[in-house]
Amino acid sequence: MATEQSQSATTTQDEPDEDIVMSVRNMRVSFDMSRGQAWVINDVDMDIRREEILAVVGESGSGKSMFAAGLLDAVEDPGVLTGDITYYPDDAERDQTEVIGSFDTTDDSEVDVLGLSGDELQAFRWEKVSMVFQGAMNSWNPTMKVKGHFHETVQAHNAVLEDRMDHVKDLFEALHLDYDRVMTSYPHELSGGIKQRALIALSLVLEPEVLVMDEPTAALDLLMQRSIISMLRDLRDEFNLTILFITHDLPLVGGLADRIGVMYAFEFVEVGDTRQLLKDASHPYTRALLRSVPSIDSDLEEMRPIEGQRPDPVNIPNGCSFHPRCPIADDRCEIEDPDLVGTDDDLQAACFYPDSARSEIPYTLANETMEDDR
Amino acid sequence: MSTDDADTDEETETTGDDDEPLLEVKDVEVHYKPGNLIERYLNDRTIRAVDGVSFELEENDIIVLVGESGCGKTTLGKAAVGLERPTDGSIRYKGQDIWDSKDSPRNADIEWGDIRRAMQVIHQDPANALNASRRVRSILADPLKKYRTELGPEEREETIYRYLEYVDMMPPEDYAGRYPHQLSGGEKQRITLGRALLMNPDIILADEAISALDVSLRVGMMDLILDLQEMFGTSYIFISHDLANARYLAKQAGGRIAVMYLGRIVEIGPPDEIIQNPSHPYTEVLRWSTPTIDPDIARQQMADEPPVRQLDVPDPEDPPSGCNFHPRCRYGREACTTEDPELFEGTGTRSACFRALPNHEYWDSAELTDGAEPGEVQAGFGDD
Repeated sequence: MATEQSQSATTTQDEPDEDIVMSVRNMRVSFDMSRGQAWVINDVDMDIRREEILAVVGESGSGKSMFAAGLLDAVEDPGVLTGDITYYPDDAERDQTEVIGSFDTTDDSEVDVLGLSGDELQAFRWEKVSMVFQGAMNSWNPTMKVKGHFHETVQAHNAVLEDRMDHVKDLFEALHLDYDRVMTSYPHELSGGIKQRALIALSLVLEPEVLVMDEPTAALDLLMQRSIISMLRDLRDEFNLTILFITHDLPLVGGLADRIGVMYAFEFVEVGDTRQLLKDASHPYTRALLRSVPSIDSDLEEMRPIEGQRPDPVNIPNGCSFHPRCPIADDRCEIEDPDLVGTDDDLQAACFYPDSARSEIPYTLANETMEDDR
Repeated sequence: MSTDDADTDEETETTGDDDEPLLEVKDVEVHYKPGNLIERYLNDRTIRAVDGVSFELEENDIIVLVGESGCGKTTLGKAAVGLERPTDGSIRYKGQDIWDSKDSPRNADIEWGDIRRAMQVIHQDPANALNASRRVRSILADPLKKYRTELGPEEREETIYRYLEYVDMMPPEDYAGRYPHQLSGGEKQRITLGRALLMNPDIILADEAISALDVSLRVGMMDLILDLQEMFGTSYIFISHDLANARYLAKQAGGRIAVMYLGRIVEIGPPDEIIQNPSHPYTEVLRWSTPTIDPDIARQQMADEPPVRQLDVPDPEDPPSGCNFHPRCRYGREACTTEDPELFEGTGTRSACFRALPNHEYWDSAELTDGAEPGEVQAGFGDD
């Protein structure tokens, strides 16, 4: 999807690119409010590559959690979700004779997520794409042992219990959890970090291909947060997962993600390879954000907040939605809405002037003198 | 804001002289009895939320308390500004013990009411700190009506506008007429800052005051706090779980960072020393846990093992013997299990670790291994 041409090419092509596990086209989520219609996802296209860790980064109210909910058709009423969300099962999975749960994709080369019936959607959500929410460690049933939660989930999806529990043992090992002790405990007997890791294991019990995590580490201690981040990469490698990691915390994903998508005003403004995007972003918002986030080793003198307010979903600015806050905006930005276009090998930005963004909005990531201090 | 402020962490035992600190927190303990009324009588369980903490705050000073959730930083902050009565220890404001002033007002040099006025608080969530059914004007008029009774209605209005301007709410007449729901998160937090400053306080406790704001606005809020600190000469006790923000504030203001762990200050010193050259092993852990934004360094760090032997924090009801960090510490030795270190003068900071003392028996005692190699993480279990 490096350019506009290839973008339109995929929408017309029947055969998807091989490495895409989910593709999103023209996703929109709207709410009718007394003040008018609010667009909380505003025409978003995105391809999630198989077995990548994609971080979706945005400030509060940028639409990042709504994007995640949209992927699973889990937008709650009265929100209205439209667009095309397609899931492409793995070839190997299509060939296998035995199905783990009740969602059968052996005949399909693609699944239209928004076209699924209620039962199918329920099965799809655990077996193909599963989700871990913010503060989800509090979603354990306090009257049920941890083991009960696993059994209940496996049985609800008509899977073979023994197979699944063997798989859970592997998951627990990867997450540094003591299987016997955690399984026989009630949730209140476990620390927050253990509960959150056990919940990640629970979400993977039916071997979904995609794991969507919405601020999974937000309520945890720093050390636990950092440790879970490290475990996620191992988990991806061992179980061939695709992870969508949603966070407001840009420094958190530098070491974790393969790609980063930056959301502003209910759409992606920049998407690309983690290293390229962080080292030399091409969208003014990304650059301004990088300049406004104090990091442990950044140069403090260059820190600047982003001036202005984030846009109101009922009244999204015309043209480029960032133009009222953008230091390099001109007349064109006020009228015309830029598309995501490739600015580098693996970097796309929704900006007409990526070159002037780079020269006008400087930032430095790390203070050179501090690089060797560890 | 001068460099002299950075040197004020030299502890000076002053009782009653002229150069006594603005605020002196000495050996403060806040212990809680958990459970309901009956359980409290039947058990002798105690949670040591704050367990013997001392620090001093000078005029125009800033101290940032950093630590993980449950380390006691909020309890210490509340105790320091008189919102929580410590179970032991003393808090002196300009030499006056604040709880003596409350208990026996006749003998007090400084009245309790004046002490309360001199110490203000900004909370984490500005949305809950402002009355949703009142306009900004009347929210800000309240403290003036109570403490600045000499002001007439017009002067009060002028004062409110002036303070709205201080906190960058322009035009003030417009903002004064708004309700809290008509303000953004950053604007609400600026109103609470303005409300605190209206009291002309000497000390402001800012408890995670920027955590609820959008990341792109945090630097702006911190800059505003720093500008106003310079203008009003207010001292701040800033509470944060984020070492990166703590560094920003402390460094720009020439203040100190105090790292807390299980109710104690384990290391205190200037931000550069704390972050680049930590003396206490727990400070190293915090440093390791704080992600760096540079993708090259971050990717390299992903492979590093956590610098602890146990991931989980021990139960605060039953803290470990000796140094309470020893079960997790990768440098832990036998000496750490029996003797409790106080804050020793280290390299640039003061650190509660025997490793700061070159001649301590620590160096001769056996290493703690718990069956695991140092640096290797046990399955992630602490005590529960």
